Amino acid sequence: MKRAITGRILRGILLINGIVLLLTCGIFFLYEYVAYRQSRVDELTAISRVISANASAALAFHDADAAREILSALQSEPGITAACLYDAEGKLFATFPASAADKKFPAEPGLESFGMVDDGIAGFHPVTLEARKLGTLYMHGNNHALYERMIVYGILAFCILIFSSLVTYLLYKMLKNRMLKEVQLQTNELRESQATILAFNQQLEQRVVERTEQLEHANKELESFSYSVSHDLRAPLRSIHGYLNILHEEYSSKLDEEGQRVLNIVLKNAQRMGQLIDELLAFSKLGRKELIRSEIRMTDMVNNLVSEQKSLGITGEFIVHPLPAARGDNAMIRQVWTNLISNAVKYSRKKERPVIEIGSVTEAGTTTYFVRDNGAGFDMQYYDKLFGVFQRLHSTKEFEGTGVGLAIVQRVVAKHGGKVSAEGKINEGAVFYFSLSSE
Amino acid sequence: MQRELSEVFILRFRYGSEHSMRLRIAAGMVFLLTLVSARQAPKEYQIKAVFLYNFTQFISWPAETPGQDEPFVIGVAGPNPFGNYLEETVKGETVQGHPIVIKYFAQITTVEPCHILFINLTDKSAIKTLTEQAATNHTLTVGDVMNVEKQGGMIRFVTENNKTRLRINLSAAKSADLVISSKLLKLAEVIE
Repeated sequence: MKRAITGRILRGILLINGIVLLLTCGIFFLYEYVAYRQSRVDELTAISRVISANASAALAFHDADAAREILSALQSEPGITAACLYDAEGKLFATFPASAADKKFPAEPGLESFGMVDDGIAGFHPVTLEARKLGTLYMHGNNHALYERMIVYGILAFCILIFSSLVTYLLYKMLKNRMLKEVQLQTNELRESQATILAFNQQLEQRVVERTEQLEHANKELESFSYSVSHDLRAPLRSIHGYLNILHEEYSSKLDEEGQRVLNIVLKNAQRMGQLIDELLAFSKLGRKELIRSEIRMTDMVNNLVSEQKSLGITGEFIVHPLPAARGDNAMIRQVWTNLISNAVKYSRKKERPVIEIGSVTEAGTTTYFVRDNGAGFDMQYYDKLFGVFQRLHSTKEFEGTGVGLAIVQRVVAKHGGKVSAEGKINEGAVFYFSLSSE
Repeated sequence: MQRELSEVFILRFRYGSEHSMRLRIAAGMVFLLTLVSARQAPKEYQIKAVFLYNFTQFISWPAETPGQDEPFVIGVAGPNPFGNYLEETVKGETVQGHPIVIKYFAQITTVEPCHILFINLTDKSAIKTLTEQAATNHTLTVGDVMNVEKQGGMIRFVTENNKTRLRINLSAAKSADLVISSKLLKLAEVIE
């Protein structure tokens, strides 16, 4: 892969190099051709001038031999292939080479200038003496010099092409290694920083895992502590309760009125303590329990609970909207509904017309269930304490209860990965919301 | 005699009636042709006349020769072999701004100073006299008779294979302060 890319780059560079050189050479050749043509014209004109000046006497005195001799001087000019002189009447007078056939030359003088012809360069030049025209000189030159020059330039261009390609290749090799080194260096740096980040991430994850373990451990310790406390507290309390019952049944006649009242208070408090311990036990058991998820038909469940409440003689109005099904632990979710509904019943009991509405809102794929009542409500100022264990916003005299119900709700919902929230206003009622994670 | 004839022709032409002009022109042409052929010198002298003029281009006379406002004189000593070729040749030409004049000297005694003198005499002593005068007058002496160059003539026309060649007596030319171009010398046979 790497080799393919570098090869392509090298080929591209060499191609550009070649094209640039070819273009340069092409322009150079063209320029050279034009310059050569001009210089050849100048050269032939100059030679013509010399020959004409020398040939004037020969023409003036009709000496063809002398004219031929003068023309023969052109032998020293390898670029001149043929030349001839016409006399004043335009008749062929002398030729070069002397033996050349007359057919080789134009029958009569033409335009007096030089220009390119098929096989070279040719033209006429007047032979004059004091403004009197004695005759005309014709000269024909070949392009051998041009061809030779072009061949030399071609060879030079080829050599330059080879040389520059070589230099380009070597430079490329040098630069390539340097570039590759640079790239490698940067890649290594990137890799190092990536490794650092990865290590850091791992460390963080490790720390999170550790913390989580610590937290879980602490949680479990707390749970087992509260479990064992509540469990262990139950036995002595039962014994206290039992003996208090015996005292109440068999010895209350021996106590005076005040003694009986105190005994009743003690008995009542022992009962309440037992209740508290039971609920605490139930709450702490929740933490130890594993979730068993299944499809729950919420509407059925809620309707069952509502009819249970009604069978207990609750007179309030229940409005139950259709509820979407959800996945969760059947028994626990049932506990949530039970707690919320009995809460609503409890706190709206003192109203003239208690109304309890149960429904759901689905937003962005998350279903939030709610239970609304028009009961005592609560002060939003104490919202923080609403879901705490044994936290109560109302006195036991007003509304009985231990303060564990909402704590259980929160615990169960959290175990399901959901959220609980509430809104309320004193004497105007309260709404409790809970959602379960979509999982 | 010849001159008179041509004048007669011109007169006739000038005063001829206007009608049948074309006929007259044709008749005149025929007349002129017969006239020319009647007095035609040999072709050889046509060439020699041109050569005489051409010498003016390849030979340098001393400064102030001819003098200011003087014509360049070409003379013919002895009988005129050129007919009117000389006049035709130099017609409209000049030598370095000087108009060219042709003079004919039938008698040796009437010969005036010239710039070019064609000697058409055979008498050796007469030639000698003329060539001696020529040296002081800066006259180029030319001839085509035998040994004219040996009598002090500067250039002789020699006919070889029907072609006119030049033979130049360089010392004679030098004694008359005449400078002959090397181009001309190249063509000629030079004797000292």
